[in-house]
Amino acid sequence: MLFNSFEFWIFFAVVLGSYRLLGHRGQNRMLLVASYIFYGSWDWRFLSLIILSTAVDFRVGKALVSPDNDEARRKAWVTLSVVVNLGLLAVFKYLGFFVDSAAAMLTTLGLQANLPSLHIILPVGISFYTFQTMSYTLDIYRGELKPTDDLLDFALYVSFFPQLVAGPIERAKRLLPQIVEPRSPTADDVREGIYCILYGMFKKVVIADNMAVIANHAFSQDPGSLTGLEALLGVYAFAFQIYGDFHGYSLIAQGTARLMGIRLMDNFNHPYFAKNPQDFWRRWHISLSTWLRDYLYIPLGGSRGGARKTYRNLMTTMVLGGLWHGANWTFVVWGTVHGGWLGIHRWIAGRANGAKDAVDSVAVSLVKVFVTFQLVCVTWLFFRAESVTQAGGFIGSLFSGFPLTEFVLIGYPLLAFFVLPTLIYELWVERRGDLFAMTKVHPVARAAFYLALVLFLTWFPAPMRSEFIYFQF
Amino acid sequence: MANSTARPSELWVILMVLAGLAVTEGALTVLRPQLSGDIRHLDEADDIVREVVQGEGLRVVVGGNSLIGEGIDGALLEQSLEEATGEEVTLGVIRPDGTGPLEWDYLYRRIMFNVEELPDVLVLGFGPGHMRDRRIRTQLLRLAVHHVDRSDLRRFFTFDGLDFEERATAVLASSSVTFGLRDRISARVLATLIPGYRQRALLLLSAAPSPSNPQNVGSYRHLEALLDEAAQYGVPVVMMAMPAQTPYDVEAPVVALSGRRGVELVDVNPIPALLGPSRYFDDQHLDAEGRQLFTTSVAPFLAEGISRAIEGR
Repeated sequence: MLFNSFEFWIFFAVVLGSYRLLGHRGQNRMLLVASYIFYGSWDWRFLSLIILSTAVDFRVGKALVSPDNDEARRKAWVTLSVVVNLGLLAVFKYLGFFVDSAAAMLTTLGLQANLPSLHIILPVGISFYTFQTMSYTLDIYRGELKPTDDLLDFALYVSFFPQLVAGPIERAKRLLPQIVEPRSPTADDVREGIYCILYGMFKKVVIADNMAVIANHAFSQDPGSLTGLEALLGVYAFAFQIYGDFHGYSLIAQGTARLMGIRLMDNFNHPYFAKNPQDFWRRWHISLSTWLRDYLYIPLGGSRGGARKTYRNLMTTMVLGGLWHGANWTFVVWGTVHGGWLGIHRWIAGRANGAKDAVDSVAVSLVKVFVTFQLVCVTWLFFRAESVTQAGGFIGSLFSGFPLTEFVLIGYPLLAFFVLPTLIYELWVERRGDLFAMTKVHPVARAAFYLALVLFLTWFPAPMRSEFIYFQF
Repeated sequence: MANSTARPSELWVILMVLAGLAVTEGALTVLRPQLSGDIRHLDEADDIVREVVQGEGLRVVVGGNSLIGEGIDGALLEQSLEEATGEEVTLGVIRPDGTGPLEWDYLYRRIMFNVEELPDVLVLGFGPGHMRDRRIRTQLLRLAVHHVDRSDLRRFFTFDGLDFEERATAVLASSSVTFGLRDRISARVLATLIPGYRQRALLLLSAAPSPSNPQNVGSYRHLEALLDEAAQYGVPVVMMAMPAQTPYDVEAPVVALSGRRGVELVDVNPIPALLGPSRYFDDQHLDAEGRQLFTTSVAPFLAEGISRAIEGR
């Protein structure tokens, strides 16, 4: 059941209608059933994994505050939570990859490898809900959160359908109290919810899917046959495809939740206006980057312990963050390159420490934004490519001449047609410093903006509708 | 949480958006014929058939797609057939772009078989591979807007195995020109802004992933249904294989089908040796000069086919 389908919106209309008729407890029960139906619409069998993860972490949460348990036992309980959740990920997401990689390595060493080839179906959204539910037990263990007594409320926290399959990865500290407490949507919730849904649909259906057509064309070619302008076009198109796709999903998740009075976190903050790699990660997939910061980077030591350890911790976090996205060496390289950019930026920023508070001129800001965007685009090559070899071929093609081919003559104008107005709008929002700036303008202006979004959604969907990229993670 | 009491309800914004959509719908309903010549032609299709069936003498409807549109001069063919048959001929040409039996099956039900009077013969012009059924999803909007009658929606849903999303799209497209004509509108806008858009867009679409693949793709179910319908109403059919820049063999299933159903097959694609490759403006469509030459040269063959088809009725 995709957000960009009629089926979903009929489902959501029924859920929202029921929601308005029910009291708080009834709302939560109904939302839990709806969430399981939503998830089960992909594959009912994988509901068992969510239920297992939910049951284990609920029990662990209770055990962590039990006066009968000393520190050693508490550590054992939280370890159980981590092992179960990461174990699910390891089996369903990474086992095939590790077996294949081990077989390849043994073959390279000249050893006969008769390891079985595993074809395990990846349960949709498993990376998101396992991280979400782990944050619950980890926060209780750290003494930052009290466990809930209501299993069904907790089950809803784990499975809340708007953000179940592709985030944002909500922390229990933030989402669980909203589930436990009675709520009713305010006028602001409705206003911002409608904005999120419309703009999110626009970013997915108009931007991401149309850019996918260009990116798919480029990445379906032999990299050696592409000219520099064509390879660059493919990379730029993918950069805006993945941004539109994931930002669109996050916005629709926020919007649908807001219409029920639940606030999900902002997952994106104009990442392509970032002035450096660190700034990029403050703006891109914020729920994941803050999760990795809080539960991996800082526990590893963060920036404490000297420069060497800081670089090591940065790299470890980014490599594992890359691997979180998918069981493929391309994601490992993607994370490694990002770790490299972050390390270099940290080194440069450390040397220029005295000037860090200086305000950049417009020209300097533009250069920084431009350079950061190009660096990010290079990493997207690894993210999108089927193999590291293909990504390498693309990088080689970037320097292979710049003739105006048919693909260039159609691709760049389409890129400009779809992306430029969006960037101009987002620049306006960026300058206002408020992601919901559009909801504060005069109602007539907002209605005109919404009408334009609806007409674009109606008239300019891509020839082929596609799934959300982040579902595969 | 921000103070919400000072601002007007979002309901007003929604109402303004809906008003804007209503205005757009009204404007597009009025401007619809301006969007493309193909729409104007489709809007006139039932009038063309009506004029034929109310005409004198041998009443012929020639159906097809742009191969017929570019390859046949209707008035000239009418005159040439009169000369070849020695009787008065009333002829109309229905040639919506990019169509095949999938669309014709529904279109002719709506504009031909559901009216009281019928033509004496239906000629279907086709090119290589045109008679095969195609993927529904790529044609869905145009089918819903131009070809499938509201009363035929149920058949459309079941006969073509539409899933829920496709059914919803079809209903929406048949209810709203703003939605239903979206591919025409977007193509018009992009073609205005981007030089060479129509030709170059094909390059991108060729790499697009295939849409869902209904079980009947590659079959001839719609052609068979169309022939069934014509037989039921007693309208003889002549299938005419149109010339292409590279001569081709009519697919064996089409030949077999015509034999099985007793449908005349006039294969004129190898005939016009006089139509050298230079008579085409692309690999399939005849240019203006080729059109005149082909129309006059095909008439005797077509007259024979029509005569046999009527005799065999």
